[in-house]
Amino acid sequence: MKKAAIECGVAVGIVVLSGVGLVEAWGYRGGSGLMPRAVMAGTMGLAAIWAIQSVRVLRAPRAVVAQDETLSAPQVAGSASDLAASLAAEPEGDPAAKPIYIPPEQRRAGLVVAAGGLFLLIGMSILGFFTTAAIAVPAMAWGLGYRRPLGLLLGTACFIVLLLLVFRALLALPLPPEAIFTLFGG
Amino acid sequence: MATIFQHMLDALPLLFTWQAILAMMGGTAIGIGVGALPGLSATMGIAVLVPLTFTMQPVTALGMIAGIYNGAMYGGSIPAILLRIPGTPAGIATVFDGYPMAQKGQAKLALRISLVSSSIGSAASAVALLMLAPPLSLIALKFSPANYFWLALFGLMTIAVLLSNNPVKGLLSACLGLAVGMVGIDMMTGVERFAFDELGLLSGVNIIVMLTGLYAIPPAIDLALNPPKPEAEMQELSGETVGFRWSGLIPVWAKAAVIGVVTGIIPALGGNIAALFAWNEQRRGDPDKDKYGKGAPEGIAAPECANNADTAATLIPALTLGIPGSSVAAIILGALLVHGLVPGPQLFRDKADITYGFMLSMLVTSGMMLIMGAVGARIFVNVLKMPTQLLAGMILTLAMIGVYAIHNSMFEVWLMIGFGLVGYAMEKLDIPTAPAVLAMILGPIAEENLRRALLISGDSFLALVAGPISILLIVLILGSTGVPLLRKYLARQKRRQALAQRGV
Repeated sequence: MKKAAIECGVAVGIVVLSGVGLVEAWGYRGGSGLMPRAVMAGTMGLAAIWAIQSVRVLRAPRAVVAQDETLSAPQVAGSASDLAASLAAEPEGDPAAKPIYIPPEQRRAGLVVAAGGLFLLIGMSILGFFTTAAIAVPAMAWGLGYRRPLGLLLGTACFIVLLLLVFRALLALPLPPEAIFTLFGG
Repeated sequence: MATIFQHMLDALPLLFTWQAILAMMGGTAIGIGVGALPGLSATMGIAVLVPLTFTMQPVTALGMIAGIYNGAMYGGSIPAILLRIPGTPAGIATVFDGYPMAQKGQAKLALRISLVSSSIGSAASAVALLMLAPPLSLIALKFSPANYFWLALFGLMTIAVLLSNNPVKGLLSACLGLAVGMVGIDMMTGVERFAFDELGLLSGVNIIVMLTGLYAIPPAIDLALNPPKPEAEMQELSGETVGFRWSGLIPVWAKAAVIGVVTGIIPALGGNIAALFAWNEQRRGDPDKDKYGKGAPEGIAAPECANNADTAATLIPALTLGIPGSSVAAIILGALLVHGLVPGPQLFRDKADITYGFMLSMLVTSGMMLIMGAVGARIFVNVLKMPTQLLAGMILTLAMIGVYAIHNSMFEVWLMIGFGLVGYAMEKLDIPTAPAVLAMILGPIAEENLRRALLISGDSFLALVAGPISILLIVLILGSTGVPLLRKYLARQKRRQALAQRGV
């Protein structure tokens, strides 16, 4: 699937959402409605233009594929002049014309992050922040391919100690009780 | 000038408490560490750590943020020199001569040049902030509500148009920020806007929730999905620094500092542009051009000095006019708001001690960076050995605990994750996130001043375009948005012509 197809879908979604927002803003009385109405109408217009732009990209007969989508962290290779030239160069073609390809390892990593994030969100209210972090951090690292048990143990332990020092000792923030301590009558 | 020095003297006792010194040292160390880790940036570091500063005194908290900001700019050069991979985008130009120097067995000297240049750049920038911001704020104090409305619109439009290849996307991002900024009860009329009877939204969306979501979650996801893979071998921290003629770098620092400060003041440019520009200018002005890209010390000094000279200078329009010119300046404005400091000229009048304390902390942390970078060089280099797989979970955890700590609300944590996912999608769709944050800050300012101007003029929209300052700002808006749009249009036409000639 081309990126422009996704962009078109998102743009149409924004048109609909801002339309709903505009209807909602129409009900605000006096000066309260001035800015919301202007912003929602503006958003609708802009999203409609974006949708048209995406459709035009999709209809274009041939698109030039530009850079590698999988690399988004700042990375460099080659000589200084190559790098300077690539930084100065205009991107070839419209990036929206690029087809989307997600490598299998990225899909797996995406699942690990989603599962880990969800566990953190739910676990924090049930198990407590520190217990959840002590489970989620090494589990996510393992899932992402880090296989050194000592590194996992040490890294997690240092992180949890740091969290306890900062949030409990230094800032004394009122965080939910840790289920493990409640279990043992703490 | 005497008043400025008096304010500085008044701020010194606040800055030299043991808590503030500890916070600045901690912030600097964290900043260097964050900058050294490829994939993380000063913006992310500050976004994750701002919630931790809630319970601190304003100057202590802002000192910590100043340390992170300065430290991260230098930290970015460590992997640039040793691994040929910049820790932050601002470290890109350092790779050109940094890595070749390390390959020649001069890694220690390269890092030392980077450290000294960064500290000098930061100090020059802090001095520029201290000298330029107060007089500019005096001018801004003369602005009427209508002027303020146009000023806020100018800041917003400029960033939205300049930060994206497609201005429509930049403006859409700004609209998102404006919409989020309107959520909650309207303070002027009591009307509930876009809250949809949700209790957690009635008091509005906290800026930190949005900032943390947009700037902490996408890098965490990116680190997991695209772990940075160094394409070169890590160089040993070898070589000696004695015998190097430091005085030869003085003209390089002078030129690079000016480039950095000027670039910093101009909205929508950043440390990476300043560094590339300074490296290019240094090479262009040197008779021996061939040495650049092969390990020239000047090729490290120029970009490192420039990207650090950009830091405090970025805050000049942010602190005086309330217009942040970059995402990191927007986050710092968010941090100021958290501590009850409303950005704008009144900051220098109503909260002078804290404002000057913050500006001075930018200067103090540049000195701290020099000492800590020299003493702890080996420790900071070891940060590079940290497994990136552990970082994603750690950043997510820190962001969640930090946001929860604002109001002890899980609703805000979910909201932050929502913003994070939106931010990640925006990045993938090439929609800049900075206009959204700027709009969230500038939107309420623009709206308040628009309504105030209309109230004063008896709902006459003509009053908005009256007066020379308003007219000048309207011209600036048209110029700053129209010229790039025109340039993009012309470039597209040129590309189409070229493609047609090639028969594509």
